[in-house]
Amino acid sequence: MTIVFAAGVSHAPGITAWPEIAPVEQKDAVYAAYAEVANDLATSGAEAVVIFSSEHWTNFFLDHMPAFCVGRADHYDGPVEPWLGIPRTRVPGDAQLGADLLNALYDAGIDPSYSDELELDHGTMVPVHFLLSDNMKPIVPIMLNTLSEPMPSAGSCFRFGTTVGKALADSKKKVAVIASGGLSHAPGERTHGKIDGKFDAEFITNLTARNDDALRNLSHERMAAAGGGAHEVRAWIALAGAVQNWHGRMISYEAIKPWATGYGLMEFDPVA
Amino acid sequence: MSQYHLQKLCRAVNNDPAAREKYLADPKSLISQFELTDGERQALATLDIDALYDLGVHPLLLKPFTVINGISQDDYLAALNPESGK
Repeated sequence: MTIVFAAGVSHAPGITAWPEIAPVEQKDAVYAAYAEVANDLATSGAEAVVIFSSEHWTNFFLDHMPAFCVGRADHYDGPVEPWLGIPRTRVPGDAQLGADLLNALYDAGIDPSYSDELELDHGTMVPVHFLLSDNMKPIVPIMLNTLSEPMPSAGSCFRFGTTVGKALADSKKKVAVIASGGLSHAPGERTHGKIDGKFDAEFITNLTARNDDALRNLSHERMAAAGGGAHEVRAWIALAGAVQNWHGRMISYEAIKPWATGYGLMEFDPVA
Repeated sequence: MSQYHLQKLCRAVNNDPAAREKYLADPKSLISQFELTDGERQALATLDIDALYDLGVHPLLLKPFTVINGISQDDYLAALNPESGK
């Protein structure tokens, strides 16, 4: 077993782009939660970090939209957004681990796209900034199409994550796995600011109580009803597939209206 | 199918520093390089957010595009929900 740490985090950009518009107690709670997850990641001894993240029109467009894309570069630059409030930087990549994961996926009959040059937007840079700035480790970004229909189903994301988890179990490295995205939000839509607390509560419970059938069967329509950004919980479902005997433990959940997001951070613990 | 090209323009402004610089200096010059309908050009020229939304610009392209154009979140939401008043 070489997955030494697993967590799901929200990445909505208000956290750094316009932190001051959130109620201060909510902002403080999210910042404290990110600091706690960062500390736990650092003490886990992880030597590399696999990040299931969401495409936001940064690397892919409607000329080519892969369902899954595994990064295989030795570095990545980001953020692409000049307004994000995170300085542009170069993040080290673990090209060998990316290649190993790709080979394991193809051997298992799962054939994702791959890239030796991914640009990072807030979907990956917010977690990198908060979790790795003081403890930088090489990353393997895995982009999911959570953006443009059709998207990979929840069941497909879970199965993809399962294969990644098995490959990491065979790896000699100690690896942290992060899911980035969600929970409910409708960024840029007419309903921007709407947060679906019922969706978020059910999703959280399905991870803490490990109702994997509910995760695998979460419908596209139910995610869509919780806002376009809720499609990003596919990254958390992939993570759940990677750590199947681990139970979620909520670190923080805040429905932050000014950031227009149900902001969740969760760690996962192996069941003894 | 110029919705594709309309979104392509928004994406270029959002992500490509050279295209963004060109757009901010002279929007019409960049707009002229894309295959757009007159209605799409008009919506871009007047930054008609409601029209761009209805023309099919994805929310995650439109929102950052308006941030780069200096439009506040309040103004963005008011433009998309004209009936709610402001």
